[in-house]
Amino acid sequence: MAKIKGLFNEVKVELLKVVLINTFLDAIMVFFIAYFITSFFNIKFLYIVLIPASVTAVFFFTSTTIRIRKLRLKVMEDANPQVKEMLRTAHDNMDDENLMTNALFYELKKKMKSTSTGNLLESKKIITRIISAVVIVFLIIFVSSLNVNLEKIDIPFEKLRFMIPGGKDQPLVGGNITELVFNETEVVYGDASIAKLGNEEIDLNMNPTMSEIDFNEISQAERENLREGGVPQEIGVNPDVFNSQEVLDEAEQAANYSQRIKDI
Amino acid sequence: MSAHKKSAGRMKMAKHIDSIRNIEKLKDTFSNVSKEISKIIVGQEEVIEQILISILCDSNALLESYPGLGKTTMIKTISDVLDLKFSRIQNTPDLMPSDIIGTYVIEEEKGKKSFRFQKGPVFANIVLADEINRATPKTQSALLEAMQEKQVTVGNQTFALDTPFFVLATQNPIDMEGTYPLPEAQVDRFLLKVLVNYPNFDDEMEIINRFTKAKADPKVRTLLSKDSLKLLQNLTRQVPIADDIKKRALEIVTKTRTKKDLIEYGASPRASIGLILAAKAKALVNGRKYVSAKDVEEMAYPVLRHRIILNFKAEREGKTPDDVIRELMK
Repeated sequence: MAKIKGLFNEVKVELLKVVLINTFLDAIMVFFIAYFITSFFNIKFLYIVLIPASVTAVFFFTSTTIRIRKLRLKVMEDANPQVKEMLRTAHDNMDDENLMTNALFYELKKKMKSTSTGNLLESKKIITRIISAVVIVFLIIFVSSLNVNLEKIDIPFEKLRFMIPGGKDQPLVGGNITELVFNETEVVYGDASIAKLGNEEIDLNMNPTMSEIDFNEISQAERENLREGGVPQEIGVNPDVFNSQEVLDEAEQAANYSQRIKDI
Repeated sequence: MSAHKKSAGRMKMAKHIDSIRNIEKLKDTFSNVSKEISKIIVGQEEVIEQILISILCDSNALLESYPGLGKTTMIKTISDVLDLKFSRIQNTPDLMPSDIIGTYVIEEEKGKKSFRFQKGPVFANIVLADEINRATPKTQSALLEAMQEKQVTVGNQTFALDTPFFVLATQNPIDMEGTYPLPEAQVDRFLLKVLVNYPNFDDEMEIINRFTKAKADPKVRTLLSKDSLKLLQNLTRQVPIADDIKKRALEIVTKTRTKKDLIEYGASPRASIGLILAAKAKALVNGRKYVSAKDVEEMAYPVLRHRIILNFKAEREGKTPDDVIRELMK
């Protein structure tokens, strides 16, 4: 009897593994789909990853719980017809000890050696899930890397504004629509002619030196005789410079400026 | 662990494995029994199987058949193969209970007279009660009491019947005039109602060939002893059944009580017990160590057909009990 209980414990473990594998594959699909959907919203990148991860975690735990509750030995029997009806009969009569039940347990143990957990995994469904996941991944890459210009949808709920890039201070687009005023005049800030440029070409000439430099005429420097003229013999200051009103005004201005700084 | 204990453990394991291997051979055993019976009886495999099921369940069967279909020969052959004592009771309206169970007779020995109980035909292992519906209700009740109690009481003395004890009662579906149909409460005591149909063309050709060329008197071998049969009866009750299949059997029986549009009176809990037992016996006869859902569905017909009473609407539509049972199982 202990051996048959051990057999059923093994069967339960195998069924649990199958449930986890199937739920894991479904969770991956859910994550990619949720990521794809949230990437259309105008929210910070952290939340674009966090929301799908949370949804996936909830899905994983819920799905696992539901699948475990629905788990029946009939699943194993359907996948392995050689133990059809034997498995659940042995399970329901596990505590009975007589010749017939012992014979049943003996035969069941013999036949269970030829069963395989692989039969429980439906290969077609698994391949479909993998292909779907790959398609969604490529779709995500296509949308993001090729810079497909889709309209970013802002979150309409006020409590969730913290997720928007720029924080809470960013006004919601679409809020207070009545205050929007469209400039229907020709008055613009700056030079009005600029606003009217439209598709006209602008000729921009850049002349940094105010003279034309011909790089072909550049030669080695020549020695100049500075004594022949150009250098003043005497250096003196024009006394009129100190008597001009301009200088006085400038001095007064400097004094006032210094006083102001001092007051501060 | 001492050597003595180890060897005792090994012997126990070997005996255990031997017992299991013997059970593996059961299918061959029943197959050989059917082959031996088929030396005399052509066809009727389903009837023979249902009679064997009744015997394994330590219960009784009601056979409904037209005359001349080999009922007596069949049951006589089964009793020879199973090494069981056979007796036949031809029921007539003037049959008395003492004709069945026995009576006291006066004997004289050495000038002294004494009463001696002369056992009736009921003191056998297999009793064929032919045309039970011809006997008076008083005679029927004497036989039914023997069936139920496995003993007979004469005067103030009780005589136990030999085990295994099996009664196969027959009824003729035609020629019902001047008969005393068994009341429903008594019919309920029979585990199965077996229908015997005419053989098909090939089988009847075989019958002609066997019994018209020369006076055939084939002998059959005894394949099972009385003790083996008792062991098989114990094994039948030990056959395990899954809970959901047990539930399915109970659902079928309870539906007979709720389907008021076709059934006037449904089956009793005796039918639930009978269905599970019959399914276990069917599994054993087929060499399986567990009851299958198919066993329950196949045995539902012989177990339930004599326990349900159809209403007027069903009879007007020409429905038979088997048709109604088929609808219940959908």
